[in-house]
Amino acid sequence: MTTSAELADRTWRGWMTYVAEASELLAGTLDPGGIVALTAQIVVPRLADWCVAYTTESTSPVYVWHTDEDQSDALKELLAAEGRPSEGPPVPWGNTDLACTIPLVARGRTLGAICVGRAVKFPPDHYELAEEIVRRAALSLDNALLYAEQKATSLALQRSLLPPELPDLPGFDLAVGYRPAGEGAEVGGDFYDVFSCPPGPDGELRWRFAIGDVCGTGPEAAAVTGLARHALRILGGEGMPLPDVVERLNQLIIDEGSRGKLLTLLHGEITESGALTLVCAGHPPPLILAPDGSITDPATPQPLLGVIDDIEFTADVLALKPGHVLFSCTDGVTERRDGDVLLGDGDGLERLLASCAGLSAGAVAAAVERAVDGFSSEPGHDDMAIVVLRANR
Amino acid sequence: MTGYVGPVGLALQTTRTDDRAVVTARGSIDLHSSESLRGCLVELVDSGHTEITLDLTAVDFCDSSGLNVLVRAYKHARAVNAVLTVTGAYGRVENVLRTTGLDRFLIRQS
Repeated sequence: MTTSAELADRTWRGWMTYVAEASELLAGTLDPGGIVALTAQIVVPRLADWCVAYTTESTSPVYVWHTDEDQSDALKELLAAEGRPSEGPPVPWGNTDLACTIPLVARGRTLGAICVGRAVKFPPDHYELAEEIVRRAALSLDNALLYAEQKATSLALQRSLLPPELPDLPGFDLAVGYRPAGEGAEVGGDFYDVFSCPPGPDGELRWRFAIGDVCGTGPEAAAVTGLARHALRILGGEGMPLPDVVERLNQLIIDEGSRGKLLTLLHGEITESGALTLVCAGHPPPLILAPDGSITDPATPQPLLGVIDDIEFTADVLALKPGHVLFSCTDGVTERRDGDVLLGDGDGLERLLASCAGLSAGAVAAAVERAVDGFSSEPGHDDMAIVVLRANR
Repeated sequence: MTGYVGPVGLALQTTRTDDRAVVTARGSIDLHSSESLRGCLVELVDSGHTEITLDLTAVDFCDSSGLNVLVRAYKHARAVNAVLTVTGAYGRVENVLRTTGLDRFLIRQS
């Protein structure tokens, strides 16, 4: 025989499980719209016959959920005519229903409201449970909105760290590739830039390019990226020689003290006649692909920035001949991993590039991006940047 | 002799003799394991060892967070007139030390 105490205990356990499962469902999504829909589906039919959700911005419901789908439209009309039911315990509303409004409040912020209704009878414990579910939904919704905000901020910051547009380089073919890591909620440390410089004493047009990788991610890394990009543009605009610019930037990063981060940087200059100057400061070496598929490594490795002051950097000077391609990337490419194997292992990047002989800059960049994607079935967790420059004449 | 295994894939073993210490690392130095290496090197500097050698013979990978730890430990040691050097780097690790120019600071030039 079952006593009434045992029965009550069983019922209570049932509700506990229900609330726990609801919490888990609500905590599992970061999509604000999904949370609203989920809340309605949790509440209906266990606690109520219908559930309607409003956001603070909307006067009409953003979501309507009824046990009897055919009645959804009638319910919307009724809400429009009668207005929302009052807050607090359910009271008669409409023709036959008992209903109430439960505000979505989290951390002192009102995010919207949930209205619930039942035909004829609305037990007090059902109302209390609905309140509990809405409280948890509001917290999840608040988290989701904060996450969306952070993601938008990160994207804006990320965009500000890349050049708004690329200059036109007559006689050259330029392509860039950039991919942030993860889902975009965090700013990466990779960047690139290409900009024109005042003509040199010989009157030739000149452009400078940079590709870099700040150690770490997030706003602290982004601050160093911003410092680097602006320093390169300003000092380049004043015509400062390449090695001096890199030295100056190294000093600027060290002057940041504990806020400074390590930065690997390839900084280069190309003139309209194809004279190429490179300073490779701790960055994965750039490669030059000749039309016959042979690969050369033109830059001398020099220390990365932010370690020690008083480093004198030197420039490697060469010519980018017609049909030759200068390829540079960040370690997101070379350290792309499949189990224990990296893309860059055993001259992997060199072999990949050799297969790109004769392609345009854009096609080379695309081929490398495809190779990175195809290297492993696992999603990559590092950001990556690619800059490709081909001399056409 | 003390042994310490990091949370993921890096084992560190330290041998101390007077003011010298040799840390033998085994595994991969990456985002997950670099913190244990940092803790180990900083502790050796702070406990007064003036000659610290990090043996990377059995390390197959070192990413940028690992380089960051090496640089910080190198600077931390230098600030108190201690010396941190790296030995045994080969393959990918030797490559990344050369590419980043850290070999100039971390590998004793013979």
